[in-house]
Amino acid sequence: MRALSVKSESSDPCGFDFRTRLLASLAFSTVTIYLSDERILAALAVATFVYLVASTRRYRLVAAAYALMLAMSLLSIGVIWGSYSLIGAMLAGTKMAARFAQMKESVLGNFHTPFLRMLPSMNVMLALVLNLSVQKFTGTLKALRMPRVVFLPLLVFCRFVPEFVDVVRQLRDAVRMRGFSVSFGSALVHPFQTVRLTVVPLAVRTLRMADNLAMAAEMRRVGYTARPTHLTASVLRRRDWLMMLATVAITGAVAFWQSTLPQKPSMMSRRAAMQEKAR
Amino acid sequence: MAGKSRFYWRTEDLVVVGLFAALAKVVSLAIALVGGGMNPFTLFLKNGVSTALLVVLVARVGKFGVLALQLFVTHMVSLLMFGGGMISFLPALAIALFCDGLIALFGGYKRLAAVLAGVALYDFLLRGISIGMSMLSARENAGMVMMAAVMIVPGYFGCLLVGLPFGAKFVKELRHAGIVREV
Repeated sequence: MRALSVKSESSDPCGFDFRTRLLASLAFSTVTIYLSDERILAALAVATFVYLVASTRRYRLVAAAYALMLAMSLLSIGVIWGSYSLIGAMLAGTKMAARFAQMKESVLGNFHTPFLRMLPSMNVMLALVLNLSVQKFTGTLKALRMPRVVFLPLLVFCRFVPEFVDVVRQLRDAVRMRGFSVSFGSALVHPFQTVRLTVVPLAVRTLRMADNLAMAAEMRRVGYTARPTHLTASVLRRRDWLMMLATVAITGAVAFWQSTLPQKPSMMSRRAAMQEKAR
Repeated sequence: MAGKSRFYWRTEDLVVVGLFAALAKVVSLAIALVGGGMNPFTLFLKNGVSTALLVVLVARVGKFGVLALQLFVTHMVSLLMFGGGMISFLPALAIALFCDGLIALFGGYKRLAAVLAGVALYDFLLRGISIGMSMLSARENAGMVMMAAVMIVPGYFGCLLVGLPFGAKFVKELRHAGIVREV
């Protein structure tokens, strides 16, 4: 069974512990919500990009992720702008048309800040995910002494996502053999038939799989031992402590920097000002 | 596996929660790929299927806290895979516990109507949190926030029109087949 196989550990140039990377991703993702100044966000994006490249050294993957993010950002801007244009044209001549025109302008007016806010989070998450292996992850969960109620579902999730990808593929082949096709067109024409052909067998198979897996887990006493042993010991080293310290220092510094700057007017107050001006 | 377990959550329950979280993630991804990304129809179907699976999960496990546990697992996974959901975790957990409480209050997990009402409310309140999160992360751009709020609507219609009826039908069929046990 593929789900029970153990992947070899991925190469990790900096050798940071998973917990260190997790702390970095949590801290940076949280602080970016508070930040709103473009200069601070840009500085943080550069710092986290250096961390990403140094800790993964997987340049092609990083470039591909950035290209994907750029494409998605442009696509979403295009879709939002196009939608406002379409609705504005449909409502031409009414009072609402002016409001939609304002909305359309605001989309292009300040689209860079939300995307700039996404960059530091994306960098730290890529640094976490590109160095993640199932074995490392489960080892960390054990090292963190997570309770059985948290550890077991997460372990099952990690092990079974690849298994389900195979199951979906098999299901697609089985549906084709019976003379049906599963595509966007067929889902649009026969949505209920598509769901019935795909989701019902998947749900039934999952429930049966859960029975077997629970029995196997009970037999092996998974999650029952108070002090579990693991193959790869997860130990925090000096570099991890330094990285944690740097994370706390950088996030604290940027939060302080932001707090010293004058607050930007909020979306609501800007809208109220625009309405006042229009009157 | 005869005999009473010493834990509130049996191993089987925890395995079902993990498996359904994995299944929901894979099915959502497959629908998004087949449906060609973020369009209203894909959102409608994706959310409908996720809700149907959630109804089956809640009916199968049938214990107070199942929504909260499912939310915890999916949030942990989104946090690790996509870096999102940290800020929204605590309010979402409170919502999950509230909806769990409502299901328990209105007849318990054996009553399908209570499960459906609880899941419908849970989905609705989670969407409120999503709008709040997009207001936080794109607060400089009112146009983006408005569009994010609009995009949530077909998803919720999917929950109501596909997810709940299909979920109810699944549960009835699975109970008939003995896969979801009526304890």
